[in-house]
Amino acid sequence: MATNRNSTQYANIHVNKYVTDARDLRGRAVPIPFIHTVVSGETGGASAGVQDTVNLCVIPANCKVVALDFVSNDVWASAGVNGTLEIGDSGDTDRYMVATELYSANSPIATQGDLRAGQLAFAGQNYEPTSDTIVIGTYKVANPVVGKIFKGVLWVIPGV
Amino acid sequence: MTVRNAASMPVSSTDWTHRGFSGHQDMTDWFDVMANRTAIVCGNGAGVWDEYSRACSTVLNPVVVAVNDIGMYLPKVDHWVSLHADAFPSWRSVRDMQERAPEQARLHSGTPRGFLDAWWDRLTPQFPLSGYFAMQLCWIMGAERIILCGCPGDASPLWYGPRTRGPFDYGSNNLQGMVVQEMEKRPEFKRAVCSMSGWTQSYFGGL
Repeated sequence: MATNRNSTQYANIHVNKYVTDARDLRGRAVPIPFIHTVVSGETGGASAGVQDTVNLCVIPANCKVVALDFVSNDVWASAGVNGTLEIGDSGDTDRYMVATELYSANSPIATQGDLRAGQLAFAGQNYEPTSDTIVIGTYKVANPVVGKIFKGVLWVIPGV
Repeated sequence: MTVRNAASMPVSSTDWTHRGFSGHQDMTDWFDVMANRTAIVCGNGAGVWDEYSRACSTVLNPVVVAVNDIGMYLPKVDHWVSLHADAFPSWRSVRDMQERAPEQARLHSGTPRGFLDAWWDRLTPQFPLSGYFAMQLCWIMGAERIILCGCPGDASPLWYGPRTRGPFDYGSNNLQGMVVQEMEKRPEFKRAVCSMSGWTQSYFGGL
């Protein structure tokens, strides 16, 4: 016979009736937008020493990260090599978006197999930093094209 | 590797704010060093020599700001700005080989290098081309008026070659769009700038 089990969240809220805060139930998501235009001289290479980074925005302490919307306009369009961008923080450089190719208009797109738009990486979903955390973009593999733009929104639920 | 700040980074995370921009490190000694002065910013656009000559004929005792390669050959350079700091030693050695009166051109970049006079750490937001970056630094350093020469902001040829540098995306949704977006937030900065040619002349106005 099939078994039905409760998730941790379901058990805490609906079975054990624990006291909850906004991050558990009935919280409001707050958008934290970010945008960056690629600056002349920015580099992306094979190793960390030649991978420039961009501070994108700050997640306030104790907020729960619940979603990421991300789009770019062909950041590696004419570089001849498909570089990648990952988004994370000082503790995990791809916590929110794993290395993703951005070589089509409005990328990443569904046909690329690297789709991450609208969904966080596993490590970032429901992540709750305990101190203010700078969100960092890292260029990998190849230099991005000057003037291209990537932008998006991190959605968080403020905590206690 | 270099760390930069996106335009979306909050001002509260930076060390200083001045004339609508923010950044890290103590840069207060640089603020207002061009106060009440006119800065002539010379970039690599094909018309730079003629434009520089015409600008000099209208301004008494300007501050001359070289951008990238042109700094090797300008008769006078007060400040030398580039987003490609690693090229400065080569450019400077070429300039030093020429006979001219002693001078002290101050070197500026957004990339940390020991030979720089000013490292503009995590300038927020940072304009994306060296010419725009120089224009931005002139404003932060207090310039009253900024004249762009050889900074067309489009795919015009270079003064030393038939083609522009690339790959750059100048389009209205990219480099030009970023300039417009940031200038709309700082109208007093936009009013201080004029340009001698190209898209920047159509946007900022001429001399």
